Amino acid sequence: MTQKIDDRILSRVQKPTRYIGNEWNSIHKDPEKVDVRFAFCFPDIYEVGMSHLGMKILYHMLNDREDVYCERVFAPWVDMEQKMREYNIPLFALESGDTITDFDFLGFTLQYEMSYTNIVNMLDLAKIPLLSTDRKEGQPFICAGGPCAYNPEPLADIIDFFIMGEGEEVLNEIMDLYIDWKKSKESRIAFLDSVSQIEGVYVPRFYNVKYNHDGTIHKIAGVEEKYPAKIKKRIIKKLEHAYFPDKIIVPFMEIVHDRIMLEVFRGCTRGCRFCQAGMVYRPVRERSPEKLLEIAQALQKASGYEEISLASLSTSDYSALEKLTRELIEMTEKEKINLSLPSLRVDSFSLELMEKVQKVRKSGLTFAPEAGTQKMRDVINKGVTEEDLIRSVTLAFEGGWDNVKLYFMIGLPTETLEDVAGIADLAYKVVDAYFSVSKEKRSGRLAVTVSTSSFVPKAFTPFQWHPQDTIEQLREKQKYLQSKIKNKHIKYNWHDPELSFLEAVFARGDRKLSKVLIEAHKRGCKFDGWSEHFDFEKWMQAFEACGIDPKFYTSRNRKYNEVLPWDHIDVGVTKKFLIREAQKAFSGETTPHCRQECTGCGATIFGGGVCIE
Amino acid sequence: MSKMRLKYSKEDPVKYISHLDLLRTFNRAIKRAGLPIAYSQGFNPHPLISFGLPLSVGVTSETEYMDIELQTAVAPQVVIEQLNKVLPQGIKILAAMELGNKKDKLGSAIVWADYRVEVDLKIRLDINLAEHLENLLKSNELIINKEGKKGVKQVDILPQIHSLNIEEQKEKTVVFTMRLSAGSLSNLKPEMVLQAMEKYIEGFEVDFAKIHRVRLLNKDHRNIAKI
Repeated sequence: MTQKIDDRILSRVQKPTRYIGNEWNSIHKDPEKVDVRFAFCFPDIYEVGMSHLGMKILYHMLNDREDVYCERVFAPWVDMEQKMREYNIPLFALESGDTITDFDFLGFTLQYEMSYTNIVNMLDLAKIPLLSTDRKEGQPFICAGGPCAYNPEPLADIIDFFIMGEGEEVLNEIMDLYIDWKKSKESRIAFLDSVSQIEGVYVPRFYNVKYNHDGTIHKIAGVEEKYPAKIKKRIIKKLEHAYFPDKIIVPFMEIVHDRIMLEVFRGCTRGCRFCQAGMVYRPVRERSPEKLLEIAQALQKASGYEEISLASLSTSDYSALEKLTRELIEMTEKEKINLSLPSLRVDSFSLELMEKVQKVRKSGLTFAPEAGTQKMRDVINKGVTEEDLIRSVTLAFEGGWDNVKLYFMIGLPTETLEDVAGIADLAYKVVDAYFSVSKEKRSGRLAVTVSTSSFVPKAFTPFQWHPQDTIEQLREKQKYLQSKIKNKHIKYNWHDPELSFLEAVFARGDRKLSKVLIEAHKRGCKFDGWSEHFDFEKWMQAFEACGIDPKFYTSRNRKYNEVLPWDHIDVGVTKKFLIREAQKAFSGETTPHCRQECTGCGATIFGGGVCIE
Repeated sequence: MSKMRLKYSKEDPVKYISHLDLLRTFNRAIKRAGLPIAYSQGFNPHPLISFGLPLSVGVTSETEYMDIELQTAVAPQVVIEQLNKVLPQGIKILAAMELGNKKDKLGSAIVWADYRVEVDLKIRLDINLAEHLENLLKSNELIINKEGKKGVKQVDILPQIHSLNIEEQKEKTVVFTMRLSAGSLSNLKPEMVLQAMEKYIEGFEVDFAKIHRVRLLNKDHRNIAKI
């Protein structure tokens, strides 16, 4: 047990539990007896980072190796950071309390663009040079993976190497290579050179980017032949046999997703055209219900958790959902714990299932029609109709639910004000559906919450060439929608368009943005995803100081033949497919999902999952 | 049904978890241990666990109590062993006893608590602290400002102090032992006593105080459980 942080500090910050570690199932090792000290870094606070499934898997996987000691590092909240800077305490790992300044690796997971300044800040707190090329022998290697790594370029000057795709196999390969390299006493650059030869690893400093006069990219190529022209993402072919921990850390404090998360499958068969996850995680690979039940039982026993949830992109598309839920219900009833089913799609929503699971708690139901009109839903290939939604909510209202959340996006390609008004129309129809149910059957007081996020075009989606609405256009649409919603049962929430704008800059940005990130950090930007800390003015000053126009990345209609900053990354899904999908979108044509028909997206190249079933 | 009283300790660094976190921790540990915990009736059954007096965040203790109800009788020694195997470091079951049909509730039995408070002073005292303390306790009242939900209130804490002694004093460190009112009717935190000392004793300025709860007592100044 360690506690190297002084009581004087811990007793004077909010929620000191964030910094004490020592939770049940956390792993403690003798640092003298390992070859590799790995800091798994999550660029947000403890409660957010501890909810991340990928960290749970990779933490235990790395620690199952005797030669590696993997510890967790989170971004300290601003009060703690202030104390750390005041007392000159470098960023430390939760398990040992040791500073991470001379660890072997810092591995960041990139879950959302708005955490990038926290990465820079964490490096600064760890007293590690911010630029890859400034790091010296003996300093840690900074690596990164996760969904945002598919466009690694904005972080290219900062991160030493990126890992594309799923980490279970490739991380072990990297650890083995590192241990050999360490024994060889070769140079830092020699390690980067050899790690670049592992499939799925991208070392940005070995690639040159040449630009055209208009600022677009002319060419991205390796500085030598040996560096792969395309970096192909890694996947676990058979999820059934993939590593999954038999225990998870049980936090003392409440975290965002405070429950056992069962990863039912990876990927998504749907092809919503705005959704990056739906494209980059292809192909869909499932675990068997037997395996899932086995995992659920082991984790429940090892953690004592009082709730299990099914975590996947579109859980209700699981091919053995009925069998799995039946068995899980049986198990959770016996153990007196709860089962929760998130992200159910409107079209396959099964009320009976929900009834069984939520016997008592009729908490809010969430639906994501994403767009207000059928025209728009066809554009984005969201295979959901108004009838689907109304049928589902009517059943829910008859079953006693009275709290419905509806998620939409505004600013989608081809959207008109009419489509925006369609969101309000749909909400009103949901209200009508409630009052169409007889008084005896419906319960309580109806509450419909409409939330709109703003469309952010992402890399590796059919909309990756499309401009984003300007901040002014988005704000206008929000105001318009607000004016259309005048009903005491409907509440309207919207996202800050300035944040969506910045997200769009980094989602499709190039490596010139690394210096903007560092400049923004110098100006105090951090926790940008937290509204109380987001400072748009500072960001705009940072862009100006670097001589970069952020609108170059958001407002331009990119041509299909333009070299995109992420063109050297291969996620399986081909550009040809994405162009075809974009063209279909603009003619309002839908595309069937993987189980109905293979539309040749390119993911078959991995030879796994739904592609070979 | 079998009722059982457990005595446990809460040490560094678990002392930083809140009472709610502690409750969650015990709920989950009991599940991990596979003990046949009983559940409340009703729509949202919860495990039958009740605590004595919540411990403030940052305070360690060697004598905390909780009562649990089991569906079937399990030997106290087994409960201790099973739970200690699955409790995080810093929380330890020290003793257990069956309660039988006794209906005494933990919360209402607690009237006094003993604390050991190690204080680091900002500046070294060149006065006779013991003498000052004695005078302080002989005075008519000890008024401090207490922040409550409705703003700052002035309270006389003197009646809530049973005893206050210096155990050790060297350089800038003073160790106090204090017996203070505790429980749901009247509760005095050691920090308040330190606040009074800062107000009434010149030069007494607390840099940092390490607080440890030694024992919980009933109205007769006896340990609230025979374990």
